[in-house]
Amino acid sequence: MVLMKFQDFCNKMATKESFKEQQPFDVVVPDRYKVAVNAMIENLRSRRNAFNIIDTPPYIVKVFDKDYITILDKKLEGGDVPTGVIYGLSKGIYGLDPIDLNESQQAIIKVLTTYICIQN
Amino acid sequence: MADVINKAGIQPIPTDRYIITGSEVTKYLQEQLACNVGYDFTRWTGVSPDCSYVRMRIIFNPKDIVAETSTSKDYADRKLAEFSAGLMFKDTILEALKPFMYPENVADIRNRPDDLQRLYTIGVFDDRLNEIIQHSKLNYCQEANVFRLYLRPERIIADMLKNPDTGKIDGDMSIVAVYGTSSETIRWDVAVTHGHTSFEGNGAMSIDAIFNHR
Repeated sequence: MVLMKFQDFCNKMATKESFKEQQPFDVVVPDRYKVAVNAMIENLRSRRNAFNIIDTPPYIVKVFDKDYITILDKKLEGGDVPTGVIYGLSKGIYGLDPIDLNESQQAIIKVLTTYICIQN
Repeated sequence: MADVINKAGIQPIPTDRYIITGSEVTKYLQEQLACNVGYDFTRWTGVSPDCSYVRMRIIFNPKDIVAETSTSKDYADRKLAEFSAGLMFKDTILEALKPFMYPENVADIRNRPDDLQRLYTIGVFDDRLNEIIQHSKLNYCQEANVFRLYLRPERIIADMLKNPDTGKIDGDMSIVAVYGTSSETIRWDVAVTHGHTSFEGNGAMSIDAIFNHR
């Protein structure tokens, strides 16, 4: 299986809306997502500068291969994506507030947030 | 769960089995490090063919792991010529490598007879143990202009089998067998069991304590 580079994958999947338009962010990760957010940070933090050269993790591709938008809506029961997840991932992986992330970094966080919300 | 047909009615332990090759281990490692490495595997046999350990040696191109400095352009080259003393490694590489490295105090194992006996059983003793200790930290080989290091393949395999959503293995992992002898042929037979069936009383008191009561 040939996988896209992770950054390319996220650029393709992520919405173009900037985090600056989504303020304010909850700074607390909801309990339901804490384990998954921490696992994701531990898994990806050391590679934060190499997303343009590493392959997209297969477990992420698998989730996005499905009708992920419908699945996400069902999981969130019509609610919004919890901004605490975005904040936690942003701080944990890049050490930055979401609004300080550049476009590429935001794309990564958006995809990871979607993945975590679908899986939990 | 389907009905189990055996005289004792013993339930089987649900187990996932994986055959993981050396190239899969290396590919995963390279993804974690975000750089290519040179590698080789050698199987060391212990007290019997069923008891063995796999030595994993890796080498790095200095440009992949040495941090850029703000000093002169020739700084890294000069320091490499001095056998790497004073060089700074990239934080991200060290962070990614650490879970797969031997412990910093690995040499202390020489003072722990029980652990030495266990290692002897799987073929890690004398010169083999010495070389693991010697190469448990990154060091520079000037002749080849590479950094070299021994890693723990069993730790890489454990990481490969973690659930990405929890950061933990969904069960208890054990390496059931190792097949092959060289980099091209080595593969691990790995089992992950879910749940256990042993009887442990009510958990409030150890079995020793129970039998010590009059």
